[in-house]
Amino acid sequence: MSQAIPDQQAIEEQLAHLIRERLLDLPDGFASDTNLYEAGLDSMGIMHLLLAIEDGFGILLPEADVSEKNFCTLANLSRLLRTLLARQ
Amino acid sequence: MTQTGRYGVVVAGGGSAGLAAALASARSGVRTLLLERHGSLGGMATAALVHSICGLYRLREAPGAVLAHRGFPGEFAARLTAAGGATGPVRIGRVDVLLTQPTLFAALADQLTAAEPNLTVRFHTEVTGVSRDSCGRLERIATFCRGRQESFEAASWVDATGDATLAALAGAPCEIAPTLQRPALIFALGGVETEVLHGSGRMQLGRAIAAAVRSGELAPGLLGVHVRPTARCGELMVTIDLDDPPGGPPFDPLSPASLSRMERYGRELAVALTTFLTRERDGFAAAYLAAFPARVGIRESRRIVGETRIETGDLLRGATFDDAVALSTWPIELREASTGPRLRFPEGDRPCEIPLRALKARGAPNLWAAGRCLSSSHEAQAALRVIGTCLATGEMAGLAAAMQARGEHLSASTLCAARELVAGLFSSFSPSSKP
Repeated sequence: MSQAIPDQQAIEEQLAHLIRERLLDLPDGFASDTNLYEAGLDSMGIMHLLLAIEDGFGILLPEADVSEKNFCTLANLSRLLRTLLARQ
Repeated sequence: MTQTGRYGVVVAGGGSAGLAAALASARSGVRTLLLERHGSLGGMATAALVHSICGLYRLREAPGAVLAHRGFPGEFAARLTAAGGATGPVRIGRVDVLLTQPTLFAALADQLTAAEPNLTVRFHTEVTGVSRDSCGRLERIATFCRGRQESFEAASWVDATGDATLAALAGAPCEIAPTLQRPALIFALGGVETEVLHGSGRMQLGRAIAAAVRSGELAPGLLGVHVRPTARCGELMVTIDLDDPPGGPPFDPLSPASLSRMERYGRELAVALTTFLTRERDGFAAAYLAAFPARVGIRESRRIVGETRIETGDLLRGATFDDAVALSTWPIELREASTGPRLRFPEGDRPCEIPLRALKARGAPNLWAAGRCLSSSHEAQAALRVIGTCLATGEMAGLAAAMQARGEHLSASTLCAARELVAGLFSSFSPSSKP
């Protein structure tokens, strides 16, 4: 695969866009290290986020990577996505 | 028509708001009748299997939940906890809730109402008609139970029906939003090895359901599912936020055709999910569908038009009112889509005061409303509808109706003084934290 992997910031921006559009009103001052659960992400929202990630990035996250830690912040989730994209 | 029963106050609807209203009225010495369409009290907290009380505590960043109200909400929470029917407060995200058992909620409601000599409870009873005098005051209602009609008169009335049924039948002004928050079907699953949901297990279950929806194995309606283990061994409560069934018109909580579709659709999704889980997931092999609710859970329906209306901006800035009688202490939790909530917290986590005029129906001088059908905007209702706030507005509407029935001067300060007095009679369970 010759396509370059987007950098961390680009992934965070795309994820923030997906979340805003399909899931949550992210609060003012929302940053890559803001706790997503406190912003309202619940297990119902996570299902929709997983599908949005599959649509937006072409990856269905493996079950083992679906963890509280990986979904806690945009920064963590973006790091995971970068790793998975690099592996493709 | 059988003979007419006469009361000081009649409360229509025995959900959390109606329960609080009827107890407050009866405890203050007024002969009170509580009418309920189901066979138990508690409304959404029992018939729809809602298993948490939200809005009981102040919003806060720091640890340590603080009760939002003196009086009945705290008393009820303490009694339910003492009876083994509640756990908490539990921190979820950045809010505090009390987790409850619907069965013991209903049992406690029976016990509290049975202990009141001034209170009569009529189950299985619907209001079918209201007559008013020339000043717009409600005079009499007709009720119906299994083909038998009765009629009741009262000096003051509380509409705690959740659908503003009493106000609508009286011809008082009402409103309903064009887009409503989603209803939900909640059911109990037994025989689950709930350890599989510890840690990240719940999210991984969500991933499995999302993948099964993507592959076509499960219906897309199951993307609105949420699970929570209870305090009881092997039990999960499953909540499905219901989208509109494929091909149907939009949900209408006042239409029997629409409600029927939703009930059937919700149960169909519950059966499909249970079958999938028992077949596919570790920890669910012995799972079984332990209980359906008596009815689908309703978040939003018709509301009264009050003498004032709580607006979205009031909620977000934590408005104050000169006739405040209760506090809203929950974020705007708007569930318009089955993709989970859109949460908006008020500035600085400030509570919004609830004015007495928002509980008073416009044009009907002896009609009060409480619970999810008080006067508010669609977004504000997404904060005000929670059970803790229903207990608080119910108590104050019941006290207001009782004072009116006795012909006493009514203002926010006399009401709050009356609440202190009544709460004092039950001081062993009165919370000490100030609002």
